[in-house]
Amino acid sequence: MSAFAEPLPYAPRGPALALAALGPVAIGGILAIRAETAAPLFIVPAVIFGVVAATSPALYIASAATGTAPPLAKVIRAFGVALGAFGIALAGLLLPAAFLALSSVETVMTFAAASAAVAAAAFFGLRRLAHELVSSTAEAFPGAATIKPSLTASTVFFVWSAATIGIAGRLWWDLASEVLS
Amino acid sequence: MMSLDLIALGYAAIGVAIAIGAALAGRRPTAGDVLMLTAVWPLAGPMLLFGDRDRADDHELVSALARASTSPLASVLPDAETARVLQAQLREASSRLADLDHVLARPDFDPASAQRRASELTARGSSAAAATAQLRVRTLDQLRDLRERYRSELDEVRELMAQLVTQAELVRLQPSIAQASSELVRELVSRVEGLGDLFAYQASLEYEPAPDRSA
Amino acid sequence: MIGAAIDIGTGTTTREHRPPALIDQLLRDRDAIVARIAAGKDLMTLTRTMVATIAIAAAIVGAALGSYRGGIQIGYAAIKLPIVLLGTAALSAPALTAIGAALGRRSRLTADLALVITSLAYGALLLAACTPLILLGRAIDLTYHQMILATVVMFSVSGIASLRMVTRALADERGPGRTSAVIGLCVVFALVGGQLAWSLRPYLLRPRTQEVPFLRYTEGSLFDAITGAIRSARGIYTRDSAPLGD
Repeated sequence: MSAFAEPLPYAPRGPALALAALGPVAIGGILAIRAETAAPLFIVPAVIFGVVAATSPALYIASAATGTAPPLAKVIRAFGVALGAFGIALAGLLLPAAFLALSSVETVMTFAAASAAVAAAAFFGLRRLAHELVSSTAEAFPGAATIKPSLTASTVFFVWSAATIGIAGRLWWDLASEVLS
Repeated sequence: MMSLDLIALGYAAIGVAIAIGAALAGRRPTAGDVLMLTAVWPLAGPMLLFGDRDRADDHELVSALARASTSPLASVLPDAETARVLQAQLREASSRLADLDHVLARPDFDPASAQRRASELTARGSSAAAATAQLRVRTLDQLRDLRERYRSELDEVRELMAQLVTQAELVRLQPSIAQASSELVRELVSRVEGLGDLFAYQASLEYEPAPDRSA
Repeated sequence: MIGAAIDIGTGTTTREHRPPALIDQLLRDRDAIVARIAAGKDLMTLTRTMVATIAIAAAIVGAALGSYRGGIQIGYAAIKLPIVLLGTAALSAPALTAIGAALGRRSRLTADLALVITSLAYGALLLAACTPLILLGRAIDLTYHQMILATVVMFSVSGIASLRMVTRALADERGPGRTSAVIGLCVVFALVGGQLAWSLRPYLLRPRTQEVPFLRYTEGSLFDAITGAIRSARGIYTRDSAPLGD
């Protein structure tokens, strides 16, 4: 039985996960240069990966409890692909963010540039996660031409995303207060 | 705020570092490449590092198999890891064909010119030089033959991929013929695996010992 | 012919790879250039040619803008405008591939970079074609603000032409991530280009300007200026008075 089923033409793999690991460190480095302290180098990756690690089990539990979860292995794979997507997006936005952040006089603008890059990359990562979860849930064949998520699955994912963004946003705000003070 | 001077200096330094890295890795950047890397390394760096191998056909086998996998043909397709190995084989063959095209386009690799040169040397009585020139003519002929073989094999593989995608649509309408279509998949896999024989043939050309000219 | 070589397989000459031929093809047959990029043919040569094209075309346009004031400003603007275009391209172009790949678009970094730089080169050539209009503006004594507006219109036209080339090139792609990638590229390009252009100003100076700086004293970034303007509009000031303009 073939296990080959990739609904999207491109799925980020190993190097993308490496970018996902290094990207937040680079963003932390930019903030560290402006703040003249090394703390953001560690805090930024900790916030990003800590929040994902803390909240991802909740998504699986809620999805499984509502009967909308794909198999655990596919959920793990979906998170891997989404993290890779986050890493690739952040890699492409790193140079513009670095330039905008470092060429600004106001530290607020520095933080805004870094935040915009992380937020955009996170948005693309979440979008990819949603797609991967839906395509893992639906059968490849006999499948419909379009695969649509159920209302329950959409609701679970939306609530989880909002909570994750809220937690990460609050931690990011605390980091901003520390960097800007 | 970092001054523009410092940002520009840091930017240029990264470009120079990439140029040094490329030189150490054996890429041998020209003076123009170094200037380009210093000025626009986010553009020139990937070009220098990845060259022209990042082409549309780099993923066409995986893409064709992905499209076929959403049909009843999925059961007879190779698994993902095998598909990636086959894609790498196909990419290597495409890359070698591009290299051969590039090499044979050079003015000094024109077989007609080489043959004329050999004839001139023979007429002049320079037998040793003429023998070397004839060897060059034979080598160029072998390269042209090799290129034609690569081109022919890749054309056949691409036609098989196109047929696979078409067959997948047919099987979607008539699922009963899915098993019968497995022969097409086997042929495609066999053709791509057969590119390895072409690589071996090319290697044998490259390592052919020089003729004994001591006589 | 001397210098030409025949590709035995296809019958095309390698003269097509030479810079003048590439630039001519860019102006006359952009579909062929896009096909060449999609096939991955000799992208390094193409990139070199387009970078040089942008540098030269932007220098010509910069010199034309600088001629409004004249003197040393011609040289200053001729140096700065290529830096703005090439710097913005270098910093922004990877975003096209990155955003697309994140959303599932097949990743083709070198082809995407070549496409962005080629479309910018096309826009730069169109701008260079507008230099007679810039010189005409000076000749008929257009006011400073009229020149600014005319310059904005010209840059907008060339920018739209470049964007159209990118979107047409990607229009044949099937699959996800294409539209988001192009929108992302536009946003990043606008932000970076705006900041870089702001940082390296001035380009167009009033003819009566006495002292001509290479770079205006940097009070902040473009966004700092915008936030400062918003604060000023709310009555929040950080200094006693604004410096006199040129």
